[in-house]
Amino acid sequence: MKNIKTRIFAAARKIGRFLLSVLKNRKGRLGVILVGIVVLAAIFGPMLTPYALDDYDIANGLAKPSAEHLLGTDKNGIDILTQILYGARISLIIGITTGLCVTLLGATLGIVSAYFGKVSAAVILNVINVLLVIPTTPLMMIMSNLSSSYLMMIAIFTLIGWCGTARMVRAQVLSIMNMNYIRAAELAGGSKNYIMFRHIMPSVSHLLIMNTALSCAGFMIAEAGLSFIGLGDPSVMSWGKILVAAQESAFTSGLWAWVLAPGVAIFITVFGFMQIGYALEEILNPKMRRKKDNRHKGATPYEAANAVFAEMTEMTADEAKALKAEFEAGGKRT
Amino acid sequence: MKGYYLKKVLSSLFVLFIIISLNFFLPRMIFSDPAQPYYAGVPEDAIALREQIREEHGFNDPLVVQYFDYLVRILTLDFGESHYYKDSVWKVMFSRIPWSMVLTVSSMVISVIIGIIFGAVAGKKRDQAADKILLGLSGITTAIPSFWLALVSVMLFAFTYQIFPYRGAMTAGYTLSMNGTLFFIVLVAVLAVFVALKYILKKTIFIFAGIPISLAAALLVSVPFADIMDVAYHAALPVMISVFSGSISYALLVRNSMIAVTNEDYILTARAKGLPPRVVLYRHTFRNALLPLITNVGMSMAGLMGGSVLMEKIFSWPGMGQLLLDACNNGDYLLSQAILLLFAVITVVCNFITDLVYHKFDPRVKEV
Repeated sequence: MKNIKTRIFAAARKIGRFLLSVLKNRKGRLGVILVGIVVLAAIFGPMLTPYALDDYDIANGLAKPSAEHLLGTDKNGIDILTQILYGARISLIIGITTGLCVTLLGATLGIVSAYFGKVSAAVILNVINVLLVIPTTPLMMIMSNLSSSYLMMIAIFTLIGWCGTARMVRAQVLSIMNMNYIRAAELAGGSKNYIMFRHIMPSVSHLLIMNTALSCAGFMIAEAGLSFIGLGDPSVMSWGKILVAAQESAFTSGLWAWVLAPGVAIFITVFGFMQIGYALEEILNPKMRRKKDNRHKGATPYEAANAVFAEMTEMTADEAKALKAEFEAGGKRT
Repeated sequence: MKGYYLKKVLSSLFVLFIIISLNFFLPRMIFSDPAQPYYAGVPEDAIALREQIREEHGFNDPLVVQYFDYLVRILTLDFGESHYYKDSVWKVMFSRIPWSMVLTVSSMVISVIIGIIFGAVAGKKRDQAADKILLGLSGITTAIPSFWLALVSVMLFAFTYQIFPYRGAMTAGYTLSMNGTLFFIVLVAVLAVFVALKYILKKTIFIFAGIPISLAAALLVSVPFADIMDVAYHAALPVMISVFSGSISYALLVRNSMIAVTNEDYILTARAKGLPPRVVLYRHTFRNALLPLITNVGMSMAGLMGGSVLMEKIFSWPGMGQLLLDACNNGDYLLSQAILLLFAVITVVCNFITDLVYHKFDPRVKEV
């Protein structure tokens, strides 16, 4: 029992340290603050606004921003700020769910295709080949005739989006598989599953975590675009939909806030997720930690080239120098 | 090498076969009655008449028979007739493709040129001013949806300041008069000159320069100048917005690959053997750094005819994206099938050409 307890504590401490390191990172802090604002708005939005999405008030339609309606109203007199708060929900739901689904599916299939036999690899690679050729937006437009629910949108996004992640993971796994420590584990008699979970998963996990954050951001933009061309769920409010309505009537009446606000909302959310993604990459990727290759700094190109040659031949610089001296002395070895 | 290309061709054919099958089954999944578009004008209760139409178009056959019928029709390039436009699908599509290309080709050519210059300047040295500006801009352009940028600029330049038009591709009531034969003759003639130049001077660059230049020359000769100016005036705003985000993404690509190439050992060798930095930068780093751009441009070639749905919707541009959107909304599935297939074929062909071209420029790549 005690053992489990200490292990749980250790894990919790590890997670806590990780979260703290995200907050310590400059980009991570910015991202967490921006996404936090949007998440709070999505959860508590309806409590923050005195209006609802069906508060028709046509006499007060197309109002300019005022104390009552901070961002003005639309054609039917519905408060724009309320619409944006409600829109945050669908944007976050679609972005985060799709990001997670795509990463999970892509990671699993990517690892399987790289590590479990030729048949599965051939099948998965062929599916990827087909999916990469099918033009995404047109397929999305055709498929959206099936059902206009936002669950459908998540399903289609996932169905098409996983191949990029899978390819990336596959490439990473293939490059790791030839490394000596995996060979050593195989020689030591580790089973395929053991090696996969113990050695391969940890070395691609930083890629996956970062990829989740970035693909969340990407799918939010895609969702806004699709609902802008009218393929969104008609029963929920979305930022893309606010912009469609704005295109129809805000232009002529010069209601700047109506056009600007949804875009700013999209920008804040997407930018926040991207910053978190970059921060995670900086924290988790060991290659990023060592910032620059400083080995040859200050050396002349000639010396640097010598150093690289010495590294390649596994000689120390002194040995190389001695070799050179020998060469200049007429190639006689003592 | 031959075996590699044979394998590529076979896998491309397989991909196309899958897409054709998808094309066949999707409408049958989506519509409860796939014969719906054929009922134009037939009332709901004329069941006998509807049944007759179903019989006539083979919708009562077993699915397998229908499928083979469809395959045969595709192989004979018979895409049928669009129900909404009451015209052959081919005709409808080809009346739209040039309009899409006006936007996409011009914005791609401009963005690639700007992207290469900006990327080279930024990638020359890490962490200098240009590099920081590029990284900052790329963070912003990926987070801002380009359609929103388009909306804001329409409101600013077309409504508040009324500098640019925003509806359609030409002034209302105008039609483009174009001398088709002249266009074709000039296109072929100029292209032939460039191909000849390529073989005489042995520089592949002539082919790449030749395609856009011959297109431009043919358009200039065959279309009245006033019409060109009118279209350009209408295209200015959408092209500028696409260029803004497009050029930055190309620049980032060039910049990243410049930095990657700078760390290669052959650059160190070039510097160590005493070449002046300028020569190392332009002859060794820059030229090798452009390689990834080939793949990227090749991939986006397929999108050139497809156009951008969002831009075309915002600017009411009569292009392919808008056509597909309308086809989906009208349930005109013969049209949307054909468009999807056309896109897929173009993508497959472009990928194949990209592979060939890439191999030409980078002989290190053998098999993937």
